[in-house]
Amino acid sequence: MATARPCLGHLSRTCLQLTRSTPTALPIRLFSTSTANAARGKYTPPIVSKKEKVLPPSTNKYIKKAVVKKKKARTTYKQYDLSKEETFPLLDAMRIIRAWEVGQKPTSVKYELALKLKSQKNGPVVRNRLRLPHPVKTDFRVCVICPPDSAYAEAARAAGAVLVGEDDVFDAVKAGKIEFDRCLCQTDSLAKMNKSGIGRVLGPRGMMPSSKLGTVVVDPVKTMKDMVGATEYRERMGVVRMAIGQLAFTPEEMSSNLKAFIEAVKKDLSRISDKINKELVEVVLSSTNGPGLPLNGAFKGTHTSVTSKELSGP
Amino acid sequence: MVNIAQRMTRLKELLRLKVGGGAAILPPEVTRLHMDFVMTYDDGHKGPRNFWRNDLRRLKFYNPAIPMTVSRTENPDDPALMTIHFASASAAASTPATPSSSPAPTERTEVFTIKSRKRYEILEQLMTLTNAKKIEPTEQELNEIRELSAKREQSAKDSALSQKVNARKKQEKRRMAIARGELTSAS
Repeated sequence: MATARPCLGHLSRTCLQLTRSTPTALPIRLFSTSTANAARGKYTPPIVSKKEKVLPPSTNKYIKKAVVKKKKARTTYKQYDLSKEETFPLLDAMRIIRAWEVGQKPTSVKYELALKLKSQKNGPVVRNRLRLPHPVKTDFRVCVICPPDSAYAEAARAAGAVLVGEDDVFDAVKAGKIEFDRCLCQTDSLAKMNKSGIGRVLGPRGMMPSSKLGTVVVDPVKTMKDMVGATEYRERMGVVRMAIGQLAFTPEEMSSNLKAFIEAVKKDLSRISDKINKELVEVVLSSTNGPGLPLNGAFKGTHTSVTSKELSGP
Repeated sequence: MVNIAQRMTRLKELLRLKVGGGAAILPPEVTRLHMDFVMTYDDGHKGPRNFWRNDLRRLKFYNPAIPMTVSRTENPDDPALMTIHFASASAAASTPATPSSSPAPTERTEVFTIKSRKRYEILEQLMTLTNAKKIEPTEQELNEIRELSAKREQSAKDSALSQKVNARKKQEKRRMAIARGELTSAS
């Protein structure tokens, strides 16, 4: 028995050796690839490890660029090259717009002005209220939130406010009855107003009183008087737009309105913090249906053949 | 704001305000033009509307001091009329460019019906009645007009082409979505 054991062990070992000699039929993975490569034949590409597989850097610069370049979100509004822009003196622009708007109602058609700014997408925006020398629209319906039995309420009613009070106003607004264009709040009623939850209704319309906008005041009547003829403007997408006049305005009236508006915006720009640099880039005059004409700041150009008197009629 | 190239192309198109029918200077006797027609253009009111949209703009461009008004009514049975107000020749001579603040008194009016008439027919009658002086376009303006129309033709071709390409892309995308099972072929 003692002699048979090593004999059996030897036998089994030789058998295993036999099977190992045919590597293609082997179910287990080999650590070395050299035998496998040899088995694949002379002309097949060798099997390489992952480390060796790393591609050499591409020599085509265009492909490389496409891979490397990552699109970054732009932080400023796009600026265009304005050197080839065609610009107009005010009289010419008004002549074209008046010709375009011929036959329209002179009271319903408005001149509009767009001021393009060099500005960042985030950060503070230009937002203010301005009283033009020649107001475009004068009839506003004002709502005043103040204690209904106070002296302010009486004065506000006398000054022509449409809606005066506290709870009445809140109920009306919550019911969706907003029959006014502007809303003012007296400082005493501020806490009550903030609790009432009308901000949800008025906020999206931009009518919610806030001290930031100057619509939460001690004396609403004084503000109401200031507000007559005043219009609000704000920067949206790097442009400040506002109605600047009615179609029947004379060039002189338009000119004074334009100057007042542009000066006000420039003042606002200088008031914004020093870190943020905003500039006025372009001034474009347009109208309700008309084309947009970039202005060059002059009242009358060298080729202008119309006089301001000719442009004064309806 | 809109891209500057797009805006400048639009401004080039304003040449149409200078060149075309209605590019004429009215004599100083004409103090006012007035049009009456109906809002809806089914019943012979298309000509007046086209006249207003095209020729009247040009007339106003060349005669900025003359008030030109349009009143459009709702009732389809209303007439379509053109009214021309004239001042006497002597009054017109004293105030050559009539500003609206002190319009020369109207001495007589000419009224003619413009219903069911083409744009150019209305213009022709207006020109003969007022003795307006037509302004011929310069060679340069004609060239620019030609360039503009060539550009418009090219852009129409381009847009048709890109429409085709986009439609094909959309189809391909849809087919892939159906193959992936995100979409059913019916939807």
